[in-house]
Formats: sequence, C-alpha cells, structure tokens
Amino acid sequence: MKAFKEKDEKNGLSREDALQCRPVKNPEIIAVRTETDDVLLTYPVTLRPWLVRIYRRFGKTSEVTRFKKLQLDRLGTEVWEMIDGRSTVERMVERFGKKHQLHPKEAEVAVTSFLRDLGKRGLIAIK
Amino acid sequence: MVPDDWEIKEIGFRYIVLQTDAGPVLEVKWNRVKGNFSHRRHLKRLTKSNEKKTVRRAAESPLPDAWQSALTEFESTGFSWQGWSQRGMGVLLFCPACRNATLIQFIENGRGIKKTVSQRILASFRDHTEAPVCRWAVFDIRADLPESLRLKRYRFEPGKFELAFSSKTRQVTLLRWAPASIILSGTSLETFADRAIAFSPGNAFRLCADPAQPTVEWKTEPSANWRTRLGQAFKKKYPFKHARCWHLADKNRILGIKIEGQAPINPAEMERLCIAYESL
Repeated sequence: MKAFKEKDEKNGLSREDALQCRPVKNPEIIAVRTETDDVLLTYPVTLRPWLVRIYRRFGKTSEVTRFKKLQLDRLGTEVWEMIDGRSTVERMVERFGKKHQLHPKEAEVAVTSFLRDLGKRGLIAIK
Repeated sequence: MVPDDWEIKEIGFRYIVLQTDAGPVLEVKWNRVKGNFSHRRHLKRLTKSNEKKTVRRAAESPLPDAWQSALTEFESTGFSWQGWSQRGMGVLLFCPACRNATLIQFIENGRGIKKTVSQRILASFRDHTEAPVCRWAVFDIRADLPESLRLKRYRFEPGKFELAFSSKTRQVTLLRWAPASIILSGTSLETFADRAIAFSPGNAFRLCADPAQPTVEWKTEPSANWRTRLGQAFKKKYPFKHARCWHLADKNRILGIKIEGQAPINPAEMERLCIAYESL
C-alpha cells in the first residue's frame, strides 16, 4: 500500500518538479465569503458540444453557459487563499504544514490532492 | 535508524519502502520462515521474480566489512543488482532466534548512498525484541504495545491515522486526528469522539477527570445478568468495548485508543496503553 495513497507519476512529472509548480486561479471564478467565513466558488461549466447543439436547436441559448458551485471548508479556504500565482506548491505545503503542525508528508498529500481536485474542475491552472 | 529526509513511500504488513526526492532508496521485506532456510534458494527466487520488471542482472556478492560487523547477530548473504535505470545492493538476513528472514536493499538512483549511512541503518536493525512490548512508530505517532498484538489493519489518510492490532482475545486500535484546532472548532471533544468512534451509541462519551489534558471516555459495562452476558458473548465477537480520546493542544492533535475484547476490559490496561501512546 502506498503511504497516503500517493498516485503514480503517469504524466512523467517528477515529485520534485510538481512541487515547484505555481497554481493560478481561473479568472472566471467568482469567490464569495460565506457567513461562516468560508469561501463559496461559482465556476462556469463547459457543456459537451452535442448538448450545446440540442439547447440551441430548442432556442435555449441562456442554458448554454452553466455554473456550478463549490463550498470550501476552512482548510480548503486556507489553501485557496494561498493561491496567488507566485507561491509554489512546495511553499504552500510548507506554510500549511507549519500552521497546523502537520507531518510534512501529511501536509503535502492534503494540499496536493486538494489542488488536483481544483485542477480537475478547471478552477486552477498550473504554471 | 534512517536519515531524516528519508520518507515512507509504501508500507505494508511485511514490507516498507523509503524514498528521498530522487526516488526509492531503501526497501525492507520480511517474513517468518518455517523449516529450513536457504539463502541461495531465496536469492534465486527473488532475482527471478524481479527479472523482467526492474532487475537486469543480479548476483550474490560479498558483504562489505562494515556491513558484516553491523550484522553479527544474523546469518547474512550479500547481493547486488543492476536494473535498467537503477542499481542496488542489499543483504538477505536470517535470524535463528526468531526465524525471521529479512531482505534489506539500498537502491541507488543516480546518487550513491554513503557507506556510513548504510552501516548505521544495518547496525540499528532489529527483527525481534527481548522485551514484552513492541515499539510501533510511524509518521508522528509512537506506541509501545504488548508483543502478543499483531498488526491487522492500517490506514494513513491526511487528517486521520488508524492502526488496528489484534490478539486471540483483544483488538486494540490506535487513532490519531489532526489538526485538532480545525476538528474541534464549533464542536466539543465528546461530540467529536461520538462521531469518530463509530461503535459507541450517541452521546456516550463523557469527560474524564484528567488533569493533563481534556480527555473523554466511553465503555460498555458488563451486565449484571448472566443470561445477557452469555447472549452478548454469542452475538458479537468482541462484546466488551472501551474507548478513550484526548486532545493534545500543544501538538494540535487528538489521540484515541479503542479496545475491544471478549472479556471485560481492565481499566488498568487502558491506562497502560494510553501512557505508552504518544504523538511526536
């Protein structure tokens, strides 16, 4: 069993290289603070072309752009706020681990899996 | 005893792989041997199983003097192998006292491993202990458990570690959650323990009078009625349960222990385990 269910490097990016990447927020996202001080993200979803064609055929052009919402918890909000386009993943992991007194490996898995999740939804890009 | 920057890559019931930034660096596999143990046969088997995957060429090789002096308590055979992108050197050990066979191999990923480092690791290697307790230390938790408890299940997830051990009559589970400041924001330790330790009925955990740290506890009371006790014993594998959670504010962690048994659990046993379980 891999410790912390670490994933294999399928895309050829080594762990060292991945930690040097800089996440950047998608500018189309609307981030709103909720009453609990957490962040609520609203992001556009790209529909499949065949679905877009069906909507257009029925004259529902407003349905072509859809939005989804993602409510972040406190830890997610913290990591989201660390994304400034300048900080590397390694630096974010370090800050997160230090703040919560986490084992470095635990902090790394927590932050990187959260970033991977944001990336899959198109909320961030990596440069 | 490994260098600080060597981290756990993979962990299993009978193996562990450590890595550095450059990749895997140390692999340890072990198993108990029944009957005769032949170093040559095991080495051959090992080479064959890895031949196509990573090993291009493997052969028995003499042990360096430094390694030999570090492994006097074992019957040892050295070996080295050459892979497609890596090479390694290791030793196959057999301990006649506990009949454990262990394979330790150092993997070189471009960067060599200093002889002093490998010697120190081998000198610190133990496969059994004379003491009645066995020390388990992984990531930031450490516990001294009775030798009779064997690791049965484990889970390492960000925020939650769980290690379950069992013997013939008991099951002991070590738990560790972090960060406590987030987990306990807006909730009490009792509520959290009720939710996190699934076997307790709702609102079961009660605050204990522990002067050192906030502690909550829950246990099943043995029924006074012998018929109920008999029924419980037949219905469930472990009818008696005792759980305790405590908050280490300075370390921002919550530790927990669950004991499940076939017979009523002695509170002294829980005390002993709690004293021997810590977060580093």
